[in-house]
Amino acid sequence: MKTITFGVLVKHQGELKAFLVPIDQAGQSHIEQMFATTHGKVAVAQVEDFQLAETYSENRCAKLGLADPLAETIKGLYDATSVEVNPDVLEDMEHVVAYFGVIEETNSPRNLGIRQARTFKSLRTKPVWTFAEGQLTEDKRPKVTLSDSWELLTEGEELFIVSATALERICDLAPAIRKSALDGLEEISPSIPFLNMEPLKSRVESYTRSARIVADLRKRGDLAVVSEGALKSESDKQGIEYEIIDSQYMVKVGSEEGLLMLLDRRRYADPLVAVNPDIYEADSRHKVGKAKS
Amino acid sequence: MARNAPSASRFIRPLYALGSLAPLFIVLLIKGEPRVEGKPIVPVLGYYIAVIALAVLPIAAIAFRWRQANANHDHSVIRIARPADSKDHLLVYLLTVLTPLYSASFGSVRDWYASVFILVVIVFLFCHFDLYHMNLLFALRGYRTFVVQGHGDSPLDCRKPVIVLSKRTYLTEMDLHCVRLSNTVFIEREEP
Repeated sequence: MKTITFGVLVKHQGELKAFLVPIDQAGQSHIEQMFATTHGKVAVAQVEDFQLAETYSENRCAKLGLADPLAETIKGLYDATSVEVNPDVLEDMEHVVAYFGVIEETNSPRNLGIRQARTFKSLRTKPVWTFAEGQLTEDKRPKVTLSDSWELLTEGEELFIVSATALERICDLAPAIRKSALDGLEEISPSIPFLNMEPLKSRVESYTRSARIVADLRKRGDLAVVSEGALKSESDKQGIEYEIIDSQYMVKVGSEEGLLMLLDRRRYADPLVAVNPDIYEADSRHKVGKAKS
Repeated sequence: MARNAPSASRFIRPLYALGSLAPLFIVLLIKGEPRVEGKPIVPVLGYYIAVIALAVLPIAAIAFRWRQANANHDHSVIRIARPADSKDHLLVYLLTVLTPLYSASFGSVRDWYASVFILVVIVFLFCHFDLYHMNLLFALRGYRTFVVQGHGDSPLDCRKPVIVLSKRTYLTEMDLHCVRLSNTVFIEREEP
């Protein structure tokens, strides 16, 4: 037996709530199609472990265990035992942040798909005229549009992320990312003993972008192999400045983000140019192999 | 923004409460119109029409909605997080509704007013405290009424209980595929 349901996530005064909204058969078929399209996208995409600072392009997507603290909100929706049915929630669409579809089949795990509500509620403020009985009539009823695929999709205990911003916005990750970045700095500190993390702390507390990079650095298993000499010479090339206090490098104000990006292999000087090379930052990058030493 | 006209499903819960009082209306029908000193105190025809309507209409309305929901594939899955049993509620039902009202005497106009007042209070309490115990339509077809509460472990869980009608003897932890009669009343789907 198969049941297809539709719902919305509403954020009101900082609190996220879920409501189910009954949907007709055509809507249910559309939702099923959205799952099929998203499954198709994931099947042909290059699936990587999720990184907060990474920008995922069209043919790439990320996966994250549902048990991961970053996916807490999604897990909450996946595990919810009693989501309230309340169609009236669409009367006031301003607070709707996302919509979701669920396919439940007997003896198989539920499938949950989520998408941000930007396009969903785009018709809300636009006047729409419908043609009926030989006359154009303004349709004042609340209207929504459903996209053709999901941005987040669960499959078993795994969450596939087609859009990282969707996860960050829906789960409101920014404050949590900034907070956990402080622990992250403590955690990575022993791997790079010659680097003093103190100046980075105030930076990650106020900048989510920097904090995101720390979250990714935490997951990297190769920080211990960073050589002091290589870091210093690359920093000099890229204008990342340090003070040396108690034989530890302390990054100067203004160079913090550059250092973090360098450690996450997201910043580099053009290696083909010897004099005054351009410096690049990579929002998106993937490993293609190992260089010959 | 213009509000939509309220859908039929919105009235199901009070109808369900009223529907569960059908046996009482049948009792009132059998007992006949209230009389004081041998004279009826209400119009006799009106009394019988009202009592029959109260016994039949809520059930007919629910049956209509059930049919409509089935045709529209208005489905939902109810996750049973805690085992639920309907037997305790049945005892409460018998004690609170049938016994006092069955034995109520209509010796005077005041007795009659008091009984009507009790009836209104009972319908209100049924709605307010989610006491939906028996509905002839479903009971005759073998359905039992369960009041199901969510687990509440997830922050997105709703604390409000829902009514689930099922042919099972008891509900244990499981996912029930249901037809939505209203936002709070669901009936388990049968295998096609």
